[in-house]
Amino acid sequence: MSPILVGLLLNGLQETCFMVAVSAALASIAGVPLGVILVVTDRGHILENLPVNRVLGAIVNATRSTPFIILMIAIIPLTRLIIGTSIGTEAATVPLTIAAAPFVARLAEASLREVDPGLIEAAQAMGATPMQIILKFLLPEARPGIIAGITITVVSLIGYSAMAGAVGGGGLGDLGIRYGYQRFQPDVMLAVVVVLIILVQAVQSLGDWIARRLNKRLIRSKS
Amino acid sequence: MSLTENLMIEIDGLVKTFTSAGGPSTVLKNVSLTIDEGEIFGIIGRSGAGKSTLVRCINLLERPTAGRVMVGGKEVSALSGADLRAARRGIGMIFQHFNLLSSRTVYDNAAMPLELAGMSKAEIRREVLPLLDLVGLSDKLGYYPAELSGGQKQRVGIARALASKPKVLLCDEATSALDPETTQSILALLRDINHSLNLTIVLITHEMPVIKAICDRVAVLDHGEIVEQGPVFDVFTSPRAEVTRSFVRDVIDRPLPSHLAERLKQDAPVDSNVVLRIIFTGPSAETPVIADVIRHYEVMFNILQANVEYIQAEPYGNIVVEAIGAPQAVQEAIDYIRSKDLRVEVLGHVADTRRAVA
Repeated sequence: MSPILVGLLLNGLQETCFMVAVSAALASIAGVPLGVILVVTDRGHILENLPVNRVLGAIVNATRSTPFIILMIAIIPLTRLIIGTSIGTEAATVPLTIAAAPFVARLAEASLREVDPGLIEAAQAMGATPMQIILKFLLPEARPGIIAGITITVVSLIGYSAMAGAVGGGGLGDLGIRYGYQRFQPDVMLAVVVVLIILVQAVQSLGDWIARRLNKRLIRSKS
Repeated sequence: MSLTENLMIEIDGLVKTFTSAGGPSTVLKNVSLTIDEGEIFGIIGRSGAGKSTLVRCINLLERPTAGRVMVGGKEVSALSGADLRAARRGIGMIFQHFNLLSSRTVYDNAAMPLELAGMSKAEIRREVLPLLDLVGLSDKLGYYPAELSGGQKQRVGIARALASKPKVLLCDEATSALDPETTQSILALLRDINHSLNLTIVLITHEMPVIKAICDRVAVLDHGEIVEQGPVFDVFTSPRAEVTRSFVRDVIDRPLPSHLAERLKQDAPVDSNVVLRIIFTGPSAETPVIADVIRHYEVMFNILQANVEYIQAEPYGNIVVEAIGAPQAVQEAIDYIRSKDLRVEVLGHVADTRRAVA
């Protein structure tokens, strides 16, 4: 591999990592609370509010059913408003975040629903406020599942970020398309794919490790 | 028994109706009862009788449709928001499936109510350590629930319920998920804290042995209504409602062995003897009535089955005998036994098995 190619790969990897890290962080910050709201406002839950629940659910579904490439183009005005431009890695983080947040929300929601209703009942019997129930009971118990959900999101974002590359977002996907496809350099394409595989493996392993460490439901023998 | 005159819980005209897709269903129909301070009060019923709903109406996990719930002189059924949460801190609760946080250690689970109340770490430590000592888990502070046995998990549940120094402890089928031996140890612990903390305990169960083991008084709930209530000994020894009789039968009125039951006839053929069930309760269980009968009447007793149970430390004897003698003498014997305040029940007649003698 030529030093130039290595330089290009490193640069692409850096850009991809930046896009994915920023959008995954922002999507989690928005998505986890959204997931909490989707759960606690549902029928029979601690802050039942069906109008809020149904409206949020519809928005989440709408965002999730829009193909990413269309979403990215459709929100260009919003991207310009926030970043000042619609081209480049910074600009790509806006559609990536907007696409990933509802994804995180649904995965977080699924984990939160797994929390034993008896635990919420115990919390109420102790005189916990709704906020305390969310922060001290629901989120800690759902944490391993939420971490697993964020891991899945990060892996998906690596794929999405390649699409963002196609419209001038930079990153590994951009590199693969420009050099590998448009300039007929299959070795670059192959190198990009190999780097992406390694990246996804690393992310998945790290996520699994954290989720396992946080999961206290499995019996580890101490005696 | 540490009964005092003070009322702790007063439930008056409680009605609870659930509305579901299939229409409204009334789970509790006009339930009224009072529970004294320091008492262990049992509520027994079959599944679906409404007992879980009833106990949840005491701390308002279920809001009554109608009626009033008073705890410690305060009408909890009129409270909501912060007032209700404050009242709930004075009512501990333990559950069939323990409901511990799997992500927290034994210590942190027990500390939860105090953490919610905003106590400092040092204060929490001062309160929680003695409690975990009381329930016998001082050596398991750093363990997670998944590493504990069912009985140990329930002990964590008890420590957690006691952390906020409640006056009342609600036990929702607290021993139903435990094996008989563990059940006994948890019941012993509940009895201990009832004595040492003068804690009022409301215990719901479908197991009569649990009631027999620790309750002072019991209410029998059937189809959302209290069909019978009173001191455990009375309810056990003279059940009135059919559902109570079926509960009690499981525990004390053992059915006759099948070979005997088959021989039992309701009419009295010639050469047959009458089979009696004699029930001793209270002081009469300690006088030698049977010996007196045999000495004074021309009657012999062939004991077919005998059993003495102790309920709330009071003896309850139950013997089944074949009375051998002339009908007149047997009747006199029965009258004599009844005059000594023992219950006698004629179960039927069996053919005389001593034909060789006759």
